[in-house]
This record gives sequence, structure tokens and C-alpha cells, in this order.
Amino acid sequence: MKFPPLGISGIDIHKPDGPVRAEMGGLAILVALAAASTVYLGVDFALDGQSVLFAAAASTIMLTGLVGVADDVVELSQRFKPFLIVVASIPLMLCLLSRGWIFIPEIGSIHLGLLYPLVAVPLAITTSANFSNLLAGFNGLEAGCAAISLGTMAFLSGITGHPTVAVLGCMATFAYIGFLMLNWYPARIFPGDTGTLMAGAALAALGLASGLEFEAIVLSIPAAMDFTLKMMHRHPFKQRHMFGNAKVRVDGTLEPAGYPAVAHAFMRVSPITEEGLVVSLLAMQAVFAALAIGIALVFT
Amino acid sequence: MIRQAAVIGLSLLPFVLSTGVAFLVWEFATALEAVWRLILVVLVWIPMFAGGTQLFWKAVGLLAPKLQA
Repeated sequence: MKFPPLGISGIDIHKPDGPVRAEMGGLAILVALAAASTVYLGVDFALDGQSVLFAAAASTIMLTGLVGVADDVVELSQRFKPFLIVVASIPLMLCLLSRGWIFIPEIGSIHLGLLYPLVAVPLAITTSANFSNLLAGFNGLEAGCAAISLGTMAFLSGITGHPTVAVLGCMATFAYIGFLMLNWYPARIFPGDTGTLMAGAALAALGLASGLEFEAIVLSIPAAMDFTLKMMHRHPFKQRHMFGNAKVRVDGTLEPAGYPAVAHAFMRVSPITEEGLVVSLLAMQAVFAALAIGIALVFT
Repeated sequence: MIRQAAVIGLSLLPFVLSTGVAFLVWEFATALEAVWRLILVVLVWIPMFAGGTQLFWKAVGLLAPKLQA
């Protein structure tokens, strides 16, 4: 199946000749995760509370992926998308109804009661999904950041006594690593909103399911910084229309557009190619992953 | 390489600043119940993070010409 003739394609804007590439590659990640989850639940004969948590977290991630598919196909309104992601978080909300505690390092456990499942869970899933949708647009960036973040959460879930959440994290991590092979510079396929929304939802879902909310927040910091920089501009959400995208110079290095963004910070300090930029951004994500691991090891 | 590493190092600024201040607020707001303390901490953390991010951007702007010289 070729996506460009179906209209599911996008232009690689950071290449001099602007080639057309297949979009909505996140669909492959969604299918891989669905297949792997089905097989896992099929052979998980224990079917205890941990299995229910696994199924709820996987359902929330995949439902968010379906919101991404709808967004890629019909371009959902920015007003409705968060509501649809809240709906997608219902399985995890129901599963965590009895959990009212949040653990914050150095502070301890705080009882939130019903605020945890009814407010914190949908807010975390929606915020994280939208954050990861923003720090994107360069070959390999979205899938690379997702692989590092989800791999870190899988590792932390495993060492803190949440093996089923760790299994789900590993499935998602390897799905993104597999996709990265086709998405790495020069990309042959883009993840689309399907891949980016699902990555953010997966990070939040793993953090909530394993009770490692603070570590998930630390892993979200690069995307949160990008969101904050864009919101601090006089015209949030309109910068790309006003300033356009980063341009490619003759020597292959990138020239930043005239608005604040994390990617533009790297372009400002020295000439950098798209591949070099993605390596730098992934290194930044890796630093925050190391920070999250350090916090988890010291405080839990 | 060093320039890119400097930006990565600066990116820790918003997190360290906001979390540090939020922790101090938690330590001093002992008169409040835990839930209200947490809400207060979150309300402090968000603007401090935004401020830290703005500092990060300013620092990158100051750093760029010096490093390129």
C-alpha cells in the first residue's frame, strides 16, 4: 500500500527538494502494539489486577492512537482533540479509581482521593499527548524521543515492582525503535499525529500505571519547554503561519525561523544539519532520562 | 559539539529552578493540608518553569554570539 496516492502524505520541509513522504506511519506502531498486547493477554494466564492494569493502559494508548488516525485523516479541530483524548483515557481512569495517592520524591505520598483518577489521569494523558505533538517535525525526532522516554519508563517500572507495566513499556519502546529505522534521516515515512499523540499518551499512561508520575514529568520536560517557549510568543499557535519553518541552507545546515522553540535554540548557537540537530535533541532527552532514573533510584 | 552540549546543560535550568522553588514552598507552607500544599506547589511550579524557560532562551541568545566569535 502506498500512502502518497491515497493522500496520506506530507512534504519533508527540511530537505532542499522537499520530497513527498508517506504520513501516518504511527499506524504501524498502533498495529504492532495491538498485536503484541493481544498475544500477551492471551498467554497471561494469571489475569489478575496487574493484567487489568496492563489492558487499561494499553487501551488508553491505542485509543489515543485512533484519535491520532482521525486527526491525520480529517484534521480534527484543536478544540475537540483534547476532549477525544480525555475519552481515550477513560479505561485508565476506571482502572485507577481506587488509587488516590500520588508519590512525589522528597515530599512523600499525598492523598488526592477522587481527584487522582478523575482529574490527574485525564489531565496527564491529554497534556502529555499534546506536548509530544509539538516537539516534532525533524526526521527521527519523535520516534527517537519516544523510544528513549518509553524505554526509561519500562526500565523504571521493572525495577520498582511493576512487571506488567514494564512489559507494556518494552512493547511500545520496540515498536518505536522498529519504526525509527524507516523514520531516521533521510526519512521514508513520518509518524503523523498517530505516532506523536500515542507516544505522549504512552509516557503518561506508563507513569500513572506504575505510580512513577514525577519521573514521567521529568521525561516530559524537553517537550514542556518547547510548549512553553511557543506559548510565550505574542501569537501562540500562529508562529508557523507568520514566520514559516526553519530553512535549509545550501551547505545543508538549518536556519531557525524567527520564533522561540527548543530546536531553534540548537540552530542559533552553531550551524547544524537536520541529522545533527536530531542527535542533539535526542541527547537532551537522554539527559532527562538519566535524571529521571537518578531521581527514581535515590528517592524510591 | 561543545555549543550543543552547552544548550543541553542550559535546558536543565527551568527544571532545577522551578522544582527547587516549589520544594521551598512545600517546606514553608506547613500550615496547610497536604492537598492544598500540593496545589500551591503546582501553582508555584508552573510560572517558575515558564520563567526558567524564558531564562534558558535568553541565555542561549547571549551564548550564541560569544561562542560563534
